[in-house]
Amino acid sequence: MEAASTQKKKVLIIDDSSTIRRQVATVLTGAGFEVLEAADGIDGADCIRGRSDLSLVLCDVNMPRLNGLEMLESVGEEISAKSLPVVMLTTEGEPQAILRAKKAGARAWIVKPFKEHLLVSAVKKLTQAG
Amino acid sequence: MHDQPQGSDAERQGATELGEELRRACLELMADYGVRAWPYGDSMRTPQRGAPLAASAEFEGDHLRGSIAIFATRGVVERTARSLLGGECVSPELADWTCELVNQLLGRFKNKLRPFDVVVDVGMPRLMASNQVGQLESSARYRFSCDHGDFSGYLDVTLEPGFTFRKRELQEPLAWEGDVILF
Repeated sequence: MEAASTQKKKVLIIDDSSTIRRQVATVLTGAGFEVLEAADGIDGADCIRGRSDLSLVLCDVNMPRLNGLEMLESVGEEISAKSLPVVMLTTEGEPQAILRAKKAGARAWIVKPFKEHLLVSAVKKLTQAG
Repeated sequence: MHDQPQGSDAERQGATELGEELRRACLELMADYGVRAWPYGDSMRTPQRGAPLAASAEFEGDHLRGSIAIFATRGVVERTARSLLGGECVSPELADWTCELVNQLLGRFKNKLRPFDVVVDVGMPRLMASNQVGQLESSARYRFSCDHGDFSGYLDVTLEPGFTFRKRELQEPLAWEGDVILF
Protein backbone atom coordinates (compact mmCIF):
# COMPACT_ATOMS: atom_id res chain seq x y z
CA MET A 1 0.00 0.00 0.00
CA GLU A 2 2.86 2.35 0.84
CA ALA A 3 4.48 1.85 -2.56
CA ALA A 4 1.19 2.52 -4.34
CA SER A 5 0.63 5.64 -2.25
CA THR A 6 4.04 7.13 -3.05
CA GLN A 7 3.39 6.66 -6.76
CA LYS A 8 0.30 8.84 -6.70
CA LYS A 9 0.74 12.14 -8.47
CA LYS A 10 0.36 15.12 -6.18
CA VAL A 11 -1.99 17.98 -7.01
CA LEU A 12 -1.98 21.21 -5.00
CA ILE A 13 -5.33 23.02 -4.75
CA ILE A 14 -5.08 26.69 -3.75
CA ASP A 15 -8.48 28.13 -2.87
CA ASP A 16 -9.73 30.17 0.08
CA SER A 17 -12.97 28.20 0.10
CA SER A 18 -12.61 25.05 2.20
CA THR A 19 -15.74 23.70 0.50
CA ILE A 20 -14.17 23.97 -2.95
CA ARG A 21 -10.93 22.43 -1.65
CA ARG A 22 -12.95 19.54 -0.22
CA GLN A 23 -14.84 19.06 -3.49
CA VAL A 24 -11.65 19.08 -5.56
CA ALA A 25 -9.91 16.74 -3.12
CA THR A 26 -12.81 14.28 -3.21
CA VAL A 27 -12.95 14.29 -7.01
CA LEU A 28 -9.20 13.99 -7.62
CA THR A 29 -8.58 11.48 -4.82
CA GLY A 30 -11.26 9.33 -6.42
CA ALA A 31 -9.38 9.64 -9.71
CA GLY A 32 -6.16 8.36 -8.14
CA PHE A 33 -4.37 11.58 -7.24
CA GLU A 34 -3.04 12.75 -3.90
CA VAL A 35 -4.27 16.24 -3.05
CA LEU A 36 -2.49 18.91 -1.01
CA GLU A 37 -4.26 22.13 0.04
CA ALA A 38 -3.40 25.81 0.50
CA ALA A 39 -5.86 28.54 1.49
CA ASP A 40 -4.39 31.59 -0.26
CA GLY A 41 -1.72 32.73 -2.72
CA ILE A 42 1.00 33.16 -0.13
CA ASP A 43 0.64 29.65 1.31
CA GLY A 44 0.30 28.32 -2.24
CA ALA A 45 3.49 30.02 -3.43
CA ASP A 46 5.36 28.71 -0.37
CA CYS A 47 4.20 25.19 -1.16
CA ILE A 48 5.23 25.47 -4.83
CA ARG A 49 8.67 26.79 -3.88
CA GLY A 50 9.18 24.28 -1.08
CA ARG A 51 8.17 21.06 -2.80
CA SER A 52 9.68 19.25 -5.73
CA ASP A 53 7.09 16.47 -5.95
CA LEU A 54 4.05 18.37 -7.27
CA SER A 55 2.56 17.23 -10.57
CA LEU A 56 0.00 20.02 -11.01
CA VAL A 57 -1.43 23.10 -9.30
CA LEU A 58 -5.07 24.20 -9.33
CA CYS A 59 -5.43 27.84 -8.33
CA ASP A 60 -8.35 30.17 -7.63
CA VAL A 61 -8.05 33.85 -8.63
CA ASN A 62 -10.04 35.84 -6.06
CA MET A 63 -8.26 35.09 -2.76
CA PRO A 64 -7.13 37.09 0.28
CA ARG A 65 -3.51 38.19 0.93
CA LEU A 66 -2.27 37.30 -2.59
CA ASN A 67 -4.63 36.59 -5.47
CA GLY A 68 -4.11 33.73 -7.88
CA LEU A 69 -2.80 35.82 -10.79
CA GLU A 70 -0.30 37.61 -8.55
CA MET A 71 0.78 34.27 -7.11
CA LEU A 72 1.22 32.79 -10.56
CA GLU A 73 3.40 35.71 -11.62
CA SER A 74 5.44 35.45 -8.41
CA VAL A 75 6.31 31.77 -9.00
CA GLY A 76 6.77 32.02 -12.76
CA GLU A 77 10.42 30.94 -12.67
CA GLU A 78 9.73 27.97 -10.40
CA ILE A 79 6.85 26.59 -12.46
CA SER A 80 8.87 27.04 -15.64
CA ALA A 81 11.96 25.34 -14.19
CA LYS A 82 9.91 22.46 -12.79
CA SER A 83 7.62 22.24 -15.89
CA LEU A 84 4.77 22.38 -13.36
CA PRO A 85 1.36 22.83 -15.01
CA VAL A 86 -0.90 25.41 -13.34
CA VAL A 87 -4.65 25.42 -13.94
CA MET A 88 -6.69 28.44 -12.89
CA LEU A 89 -10.03 27.43 -11.31
CA THR A 90 -12.17 30.53 -10.86
CA THR A 91 -15.50 32.30 -11.30
CA GLU A 92 -13.68 34.84 -13.48
CA GLY A 93 -14.33 34.81 -17.26
CA GLU A 94 -12.70 38.08 -18.28
CA PRO A 95 -10.52 37.69 -21.44
CA GLN A 96 -7.83 40.04 -20.09
CA ALA A 97 -7.47 37.95 -16.94
CA ILE A 98 -7.25 34.75 -18.99
CA LEU A 99 -4.58 36.30 -21.22
CA ARG A 100 -2.63 37.46 -18.15
CA ALA A 101 -2.67 33.92 -16.75
CA LYS A 102 -1.58 32.45 -20.06
CA LYS A 103 1.32 34.90 -20.30
CA ALA A 104 2.36 34.02 -16.75
CA GLY A 105 2.58 30.35 -17.64
CA ALA A 106 -0.84 28.88 -16.79
CA ARG A 107 -1.79 25.84 -18.89
CA ALA A 108 -5.58 25.99 -18.53
CA TRP A 109 -8.50 28.07 -17.29
CA ILE A 110 -11.64 26.49 -15.79
CA VAL A 111 -14.70 28.52 -14.79
CA LYS A 112 -16.64 27.51 -11.66
CA PRO A 113 -18.92 25.75 -11.18
CA PHE A 114 -17.02 23.06 -13.03
CA LYS A 115 -18.05 19.67 -14.36
CA GLU A 116 -16.14 17.12 -12.30
CA HIS A 117 -15.36 14.80 -15.22
CA LEU A 118 -13.95 17.71 -17.21
CA LEU A 119 -11.70 18.69 -14.30
CA VAL A 120 -10.40 15.11 -14.01
CA SER A 121 -9.90 14.92 -17.76
CA ALA A 122 -7.91 18.19 -17.82
CA VAL A 123 -5.79 17.17 -14.82
CA LYS A 124 -5.03 13.76 -16.35
CA LYS A 125 -4.14 15.31 -19.67
CA LEU A 126 -1.81 17.87 -18.13
CA THR A 127 -0.12 15.36 -15.83
CA GLN A 128 -0.10 12.74 -18.59
CA ALA A 129 -1.64 10.30 -16.13
CA GLY A 130 -4.52 9.09 -18.21
CA MET B 1 -40.78 40.28 -6.81
CA HIS B 2 -38.38 43.10 -5.98
CA ASP B 3 -38.23 46.61 -4.63
CA GLN B 4 -38.11 49.55 -7.03
CA PRO B 5 -34.74 51.30 -7.34
CA GLN B 6 -34.57 54.98 -6.34
CA GLY B 7 -32.94 57.95 -8.15
CA SER B 8 -33.10 59.65 -11.59
CA ASP B 9 -34.69 58.01 -14.64
CA ALA B 10 -31.27 56.98 -16.03
CA GLU B 11 -30.21 55.59 -12.66
CA ARG B 12 -33.48 53.74 -12.27
CA GLN B 13 -33.17 52.30 -15.79
CA GLY B 14 -29.60 51.22 -15.10
CA ALA B 15 -30.43 49.74 -11.73
CA THR B 16 -33.40 47.90 -13.24
CA GLU B 17 -31.18 46.49 -16.01
CA LEU B 18 -28.60 45.37 -13.45
CA GLY B 19 -31.28 43.93 -11.22
CA GLU B 20 -32.62 41.83 -14.08
CA GLU B 21 -29.12 40.46 -14.69
CA LEU B 22 -28.75 39.64 -10.99
CA ARG B 23 -32.15 37.94 -10.99
CA ARG B 24 -31.07 35.73 -13.91
CA ALA B 25 -27.72 35.03 -12.27
CA CYS B 26 -29.47 33.89 -9.06
CA LEU B 27 -31.67 31.43 -10.94
CA GLU B 28 -28.79 30.09 -13.04
CA LEU B 29 -26.55 29.64 -10.02
CA MET B 30 -29.17 27.66 -8.13
CA ALA B 31 -30.02 25.59 -11.22
CA ASP B 32 -26.35 24.61 -11.51
CA TYR B 33 -26.62 23.10 -8.03
CA GLY B 34 -29.86 21.29 -8.74
CA VAL B 35 -32.25 23.83 -7.21
CA ARG B 36 -35.24 24.89 -9.29
CA ALA B 37 -36.60 28.18 -7.99
CA TRP B 38 -39.49 30.50 -8.72
CA PRO B 39 -40.41 34.05 -7.70
CA TYR B 40 -41.35 34.31 -4.04
CA GLY B 41 -45.09 34.31 -3.53
CA ASP B 42 -45.90 31.94 -6.39
CA SER B 43 -46.08 29.01 -3.98
CA MET B 44 -46.80 28.37 -0.33
CA ARG B 45 -44.19 25.56 -0.15
CA THR B 46 -41.42 27.32 1.71
CA PRO B 47 -40.20 25.11 4.56
CA GLN B 48 -38.09 27.00 7.10
CA ARG B 49 -35.68 25.47 9.60
CA GLY B 50 -32.48 26.65 11.21
CA ALA B 51 -30.96 30.11 11.10
CA PRO B 52 -30.65 31.68 7.63
CA LEU B 53 -27.23 32.45 6.16
CA ALA B 54 -26.11 35.61 4.36
CA ALA B 55 -22.93 36.75 2.61
CA SER B 56 -22.01 39.78 0.54
CA ALA B 57 -19.26 40.96 -1.81
CA GLU B 58 -18.39 44.34 -3.28
CA PHE B 59 -17.59 45.28 -6.87
CA GLU B 60 -16.20 48.41 -8.49
CA GLY B 61 -15.64 49.52 -12.09
CA ASP B 62 -15.21 52.66 -14.18
CA HIS B 63 -18.90 53.48 -14.23
CA LEU B 64 -20.35 51.89 -11.14
CA ARG B 65 -19.70 50.41 -7.75
CA GLY B 66 -21.76 48.49 -5.29
CA SER B 67 -22.33 45.17 -3.64
CA ILE B 68 -24.39 42.05 -3.99
CA ALA B 69 -25.54 39.68 -1.29
CA ILE B 70 -27.24 36.35 -0.86
CA PHE B 71 -29.63 35.67 1.99
CA ALA B 72 -30.87 32.07 2.13
CA THR B 73 -32.63 29.77 4.52
CA ARG B 74 -30.43 26.97 5.77
CA GLY B 75 -32.23 24.32 3.72
CA VAL B 76 -31.29 26.05 0.46
CA VAL B 77 -27.63 26.32 1.42
CA GLU B 78 -27.59 22.70 2.58
CA ARG B 79 -29.17 21.49 -0.66
CA THR B 80 -26.64 23.28 -2.86
CA ALA B 81 -23.74 22.09 -0.68
CA ARG B 82 -25.01 18.52 -0.84
CA SER B 83 -25.11 18.79 -4.61
CA LEU B 84 -21.42 19.73 -4.48
CA LEU B 85 -20.12 17.42 -1.77
CA GLY B 86 -22.57 14.56 -1.70
CA GLY B 87 -22.97 14.27 2.08
CA GLU B 88 -24.10 16.30 5.05
CA CYS B 89 -22.31 19.58 5.91
CA VAL B 90 -21.61 21.04 9.33
CA SER B 91 -22.14 24.73 10.17
CA PRO B 92 -18.61 26.02 9.43
CA GLU B 93 -18.77 24.41 5.99
CA LEU B 94 -22.16 25.98 5.32
CA ALA B 95 -20.79 29.40 6.27
CA ASP B 96 -17.83 28.92 3.95
CA TRP B 97 -20.13 27.64 1.22
CA THR B 98 -22.45 30.67 1.57
CA CYS B 99 -19.42 32.90 0.89
CA GLU B 100 -18.49 30.77 -2.12
CA LEU B 101 -22.08 31.03 -3.40
CA VAL B 102 -21.93 34.82 -3.32
CA ASN B 103 -18.50 34.66 -4.95
CA GLN B 104 -19.93 32.55 -7.78
CA LEU B 105 -22.99 34.80 -8.03
CA LEU B 106 -20.74 37.83 -8.38
CA GLY B 107 -18.69 36.01 -11.04
CA ARG B 108 -21.84 35.40 -13.06
CA PHE B 109 -23.05 38.94 -12.52
CA LYS B 110 -19.67 40.28 -13.66
CA ASN B 111 -19.85 38.19 -16.84
CA LYS B 112 -23.35 39.50 -17.51
CA LEU B 113 -22.09 43.09 -17.32
CA ARG B 114 -19.49 42.58 -20.07
CA PRO B 115 -21.96 42.88 -22.99
CA PHE B 116 -22.68 46.37 -21.59
CA ASP B 117 -18.94 47.08 -21.87
CA VAL B 118 -18.72 47.27 -18.09
CA VAL B 119 -15.71 45.68 -16.39
CA VAL B 120 -15.63 45.47 -12.62
CA ASP B 121 -13.12 44.31 -10.04
CA VAL B 122 -14.60 42.10 -7.37
CA GLY B 123 -13.93 42.00 -3.66
CA MET B 124 -13.66 39.14 -1.24
CA PRO B 125 -16.95 37.62 -0.06
CA ARG B 126 -17.75 37.99 3.61
CA LEU B 127 -20.25 36.24 5.81
CA MET B 128 -22.86 38.51 7.37
CA ALA B 129 -23.79 38.08 11.00
CA SER B 130 -27.50 38.09 11.79
CA ASN B 131 -27.23 41.61 13.24
CA GLN B 132 -25.69 42.86 9.95
CA VAL B 133 -28.50 41.66 7.71
CA GLY B 134 -30.39 44.91 8.37
CA GLN B 135 -27.72 46.63 6.24
CA LEU B 136 -29.39 45.05 3.21
CA GLU B 137 -32.65 46.93 3.70
CA SER B 138 -31.61 49.75 1.37
CA SER B 139 -30.71 47.31 -1.43
CA ALA B 140 -32.97 46.07 -4.22
CA ARG B 141 -34.13 42.57 -3.33
CA TYR B 142 -34.87 39.69 -5.71
CA ARG B 143 -36.63 37.01 -3.74
CA PHE B 144 -37.21 33.36 -4.67
CA SER B 145 -38.70 30.19 -3.29
CA CYS B 146 -37.77 26.57 -3.91
CA ASP B 147 -38.56 23.19 -2.44
CA HIS B 148 -35.85 23.66 0.18
CA GLY B 149 -36.74 27.16 1.44
CA ASP B 150 -36.35 30.77 0.32
CA PHE B 151 -33.42 32.79 -0.91
CA SER B 152 -32.84 36.37 -2.02
CA GLY B 153 -30.27 38.19 -4.09
CA TYR B 154 -29.59 41.80 -3.06
CA LEU B 155 -28.10 44.54 -5.22
CA ASP B 156 -26.84 47.89 -4.01
CA VAL B 157 -25.34 49.91 -6.86
CA THR B 158 -24.21 53.49 -7.48
CA LEU B 159 -23.90 54.51 -11.12
CA GLU B 160 -21.69 57.23 -12.56
CA PRO B 161 -23.94 60.23 -13.36
CA GLY B 162 -24.96 60.15 -17.02
CA PHE B 163 -23.86 56.58 -17.60
CA THR B 164 -26.39 54.54 -19.55
CA PHE B 165 -26.44 50.81 -20.19
CA ARG B 166 -26.27 49.82 -23.84
CA LYS B 167 -25.44 46.33 -25.07
CA ARG B 168 -22.47 46.12 -27.41
CA GLU B 169 -20.93 43.29 -29.38
CA LEU B 170 -18.10 41.69 -27.43
CA GLN B 171 -14.67 42.17 -29.00
CA GLU B 172 -13.31 39.07 -27.26
CA PRO B 173 -15.31 36.03 -26.15
CA LEU B 174 -15.85 35.53 -22.44
CA ALA B 175 -15.28 32.24 -20.67
CA TRP B 176 -18.57 31.06 -19.23
CA GLU B 177 -19.41 28.91 -16.22
CA GLY B 178 -18.23 25.32 -16.74
CA ASP B 179 -15.85 26.20 -19.60
CA VAL B 180 -12.48 24.44 -19.73
CA ILE B 181 -9.86 26.27 -21.81
CA LEU B 182 -6.56 24.50 -22.41
CA PHE B 183 -3.71 26.77 -23.57
